[in-house]
Amino acid sequence: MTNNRFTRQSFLGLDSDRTFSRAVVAIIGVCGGGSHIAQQLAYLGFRNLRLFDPDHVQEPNLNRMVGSFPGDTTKNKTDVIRDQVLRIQPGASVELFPFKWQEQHAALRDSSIVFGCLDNFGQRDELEAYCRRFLIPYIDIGMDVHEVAKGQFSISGQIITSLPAEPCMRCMGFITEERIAREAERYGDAGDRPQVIWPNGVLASTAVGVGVSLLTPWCNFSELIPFIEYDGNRHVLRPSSVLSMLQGRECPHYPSDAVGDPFWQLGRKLH
Amino acid sequence: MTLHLRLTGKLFERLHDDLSRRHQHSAERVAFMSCLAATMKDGTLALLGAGFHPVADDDYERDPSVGAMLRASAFRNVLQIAYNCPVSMLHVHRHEHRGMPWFSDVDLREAHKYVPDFWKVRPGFPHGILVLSHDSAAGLIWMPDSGVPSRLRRISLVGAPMREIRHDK
Amino acid sequence: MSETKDELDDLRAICPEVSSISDGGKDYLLLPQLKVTTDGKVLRMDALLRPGEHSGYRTRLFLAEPLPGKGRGGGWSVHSICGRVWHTWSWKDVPETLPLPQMLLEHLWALR
Repeated sequence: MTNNRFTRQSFLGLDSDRTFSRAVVAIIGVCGGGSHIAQQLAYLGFRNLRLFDPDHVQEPNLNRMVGSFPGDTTKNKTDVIRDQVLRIQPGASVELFPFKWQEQHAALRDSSIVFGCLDNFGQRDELEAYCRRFLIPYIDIGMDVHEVAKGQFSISGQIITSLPAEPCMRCMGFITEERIAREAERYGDAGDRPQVIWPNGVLASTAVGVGVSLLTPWCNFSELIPFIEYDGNRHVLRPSSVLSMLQGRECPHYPSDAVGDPFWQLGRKLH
Repeated sequence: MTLHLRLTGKLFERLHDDLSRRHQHSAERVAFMSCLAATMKDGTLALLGAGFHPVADDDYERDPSVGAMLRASAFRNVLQIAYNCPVSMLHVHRHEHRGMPWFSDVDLREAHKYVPDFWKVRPGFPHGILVLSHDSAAGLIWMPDSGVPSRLRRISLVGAPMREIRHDK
Repeated sequence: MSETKDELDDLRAICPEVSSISDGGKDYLLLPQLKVTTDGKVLRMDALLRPGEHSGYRTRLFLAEPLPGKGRGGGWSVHSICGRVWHTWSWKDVPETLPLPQMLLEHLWALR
């Protein structure tokens, strides 16, 4: 019996090592949530990662950006996470896109899965639309901390899996025009949103688990839970109650024929 | 140029469901799938499954010498679709076995006749053929005005779970 | 698309090859090689007009290339629509109730 570093995860399937090594995974945002995801994917044996993040490391990131250390401030976040991935998985192909993902969107098109770790509804909306257009599974995570009474806080979060031909984030009521508009009004006044490592870890780990379940047959489940809510005060993950309203409904936001590049012409340069 | 077909698991199931239906006199069924194109960063051309277009029962000829023979009306319907929308059209049928399927001499001979018709209504777009088995698939794509088709190197089924069929050789 | 044929025909006077396109449940008007005048220079580039709500704006005009430093309102941002990258700036309050040609011209005016 082979006894290599992946022996203990052989239950994921005979071909899981090859599946992971061939999959191309994009992570949009590599700070709180995305850094966990990158680390876990590297440990699992994923060898083709594409990291998107336009920011450089700042002091307030160091409380939660897995793989970052005090000497890393002013470095590009993508550089720091690449280095972490390569420590775990030497020889991995880690492509860096220290830009807004829209500026290098073509690099997403052949992804097996896209993980979105953005803190902005408008950005999520565009990323989901892009993934739908190119038939890419999109797994979104995010957390919020709210002050519910003076000195009392609530932590919440979500893992949403948006698969082509299945309900989208608009169907689930997670993305709405009102939320996007309110966010746009607050632009510049947003300040520093509270963030802490352990909820990011819970959400990222769950997202990685969902991703692995999409790629390998280990649990033979027939029902994906596309919207998982995180109650950070009770430390509970549960299916969102909105899912019961989505049973059997087709997504009206992304028709099945709204795929591909509407500007495609043979030999034409990518925009 | 590397060619890749990507479609949802749901669309793939619809194809199988339709092709599984018995026909009065035709031994096999045929369907068409419309696809939209996209170029990947590395130059790979991806065809993304968009629509499923079954062939009506009345559009099969009685011809026991072949699995299925379509009337001209069947082709007229899908040619009209390709004329109206900027799509690539794939002719789809199934061989009743497990394992990697491939096209028979008859499949290829007939495809060489009807695929060029799609360029009359939708020039500049690739068109082709897809054959399924009960657990796999293979395809050939003709680039515009090319007499020689290229094999689909990858067929990706996007859903829960995902599935990839590779023809890397 | 809720725009009438007449409205699209009116828009053709400004951009002859205007066409409708949809993404993520929103309708847009694609304006290939639209004439954009800025700082006395005439540029031609593809543009996308969203004649309705987008990212908190009542209507919005997106351009294939950014014009940093130009545009009343400033605040250029990058977006992905229909699988392609687009650029827009913070020019608010062009109402969705305007006829399409006037809506487009109000956005273009802000770039002069």
